[in-house]
Amino acid sequence: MVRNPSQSDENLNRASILERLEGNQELLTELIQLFLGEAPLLIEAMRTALQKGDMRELGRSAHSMKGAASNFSAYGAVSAASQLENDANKGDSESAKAGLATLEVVVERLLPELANLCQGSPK
Amino acid sequence: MKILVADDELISRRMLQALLTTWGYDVVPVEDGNAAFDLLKAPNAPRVGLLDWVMPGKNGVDVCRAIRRDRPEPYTYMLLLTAKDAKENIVEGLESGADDYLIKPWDPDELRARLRTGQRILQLEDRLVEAHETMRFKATHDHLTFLLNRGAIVDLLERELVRTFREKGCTIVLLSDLDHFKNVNDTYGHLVGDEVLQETARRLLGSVRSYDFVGRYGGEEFLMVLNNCDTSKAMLRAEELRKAVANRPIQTSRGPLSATMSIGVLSSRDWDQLNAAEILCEVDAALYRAKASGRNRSELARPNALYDAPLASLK
Repeated sequence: MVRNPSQSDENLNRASILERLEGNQELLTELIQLFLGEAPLLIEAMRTALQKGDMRELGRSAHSMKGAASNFSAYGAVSAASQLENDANKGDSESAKAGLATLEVVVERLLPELANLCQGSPK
Repeated sequence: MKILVADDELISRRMLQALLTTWGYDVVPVEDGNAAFDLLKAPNAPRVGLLDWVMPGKNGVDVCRAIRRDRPEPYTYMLLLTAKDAKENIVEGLESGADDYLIKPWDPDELRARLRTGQRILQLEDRLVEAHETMRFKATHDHLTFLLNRGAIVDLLERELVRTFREKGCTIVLLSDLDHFKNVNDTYGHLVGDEVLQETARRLLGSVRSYDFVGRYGGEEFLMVLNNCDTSKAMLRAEELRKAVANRPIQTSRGPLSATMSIGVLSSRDWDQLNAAEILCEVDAALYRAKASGRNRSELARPNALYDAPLASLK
């Protein structure tokens, strides 16, 4: 299922994410900061891979994005990355191109939301 | 407890590392399957591996297969983490040798509980290995002296002879027998006899090198196999062992007792391609000559030597 980017507001639930981290707020902040640094690099890697037609590398990066986003229960990003991974693994570069565009929009919206969660964390 | 975490994705790896550390695990994080495999098969490797399925290099399933093939023991408990939840994937994962799997995103309580299951299985495995080792020790050792028993020392002699004749090396075989041991049993009782045997065993073991072998061949007979010896030193080594027993009395519950032993000595260099039974026969003959010549002495077994020992005088 590909979600429409316009509906991709993740509605991140801080409490449920924290539950998976056993309430460790410092760890949440650390993981978010890692993601804020890592996500643009993964997107960049996917763009390069797509340009080169390297579907294997594209699929791998999409898989990493899926795994990383799932830690925050960011289901919009997980689903977009998962779709892209499937398309890349099938070698369907047309769908992959559209899929990457979708993923980019979703991730672009996700980053400030995550940053917000981070700021919301009492130090 | 050491645990290996293999995940190429940074955030998941860090999250696992942080949680596992909180739970008291000593976490070894790696980024790909090849590094996971190398670490899991190294000496003192972590006994538990938490492996992401999709990784560059070897994936999680490849690591499970390779570890099961290359490192059967000690057992490694491996848990696959996967986003794949189709039935065929789960079956493939378990058949590759994984013990368990968790579907991502995993729940921390569940992960923790499953790791405890893993530890329980490893503890069972350790107890089993320990029991097996104990049984193996009991099957190959004499229960009174803890020396190798007759079966084990003769097997060992057989192997050493094959090797020494092939490599044209030199193995020295000593067969010793405590002199007048029956008198000890008759005069002081079997418990004191046992004490003499135990102390003799300790002295013999204390007088050979760490790579020599000492076994209890019979009641009061001991068989020693000394590897890579100089043939000219055979009698010297035998005399050292003889003196180790004879030079000072053995302390027993009935007071100090003097004990001596006679020794038959054989150097494989003096003989051609004999098997263990033939060697034992020759060294036994030498032992009998030592007995006949007055006891508390060593006699060398030599091929074609003319012996004038009065065999008839043996008791």
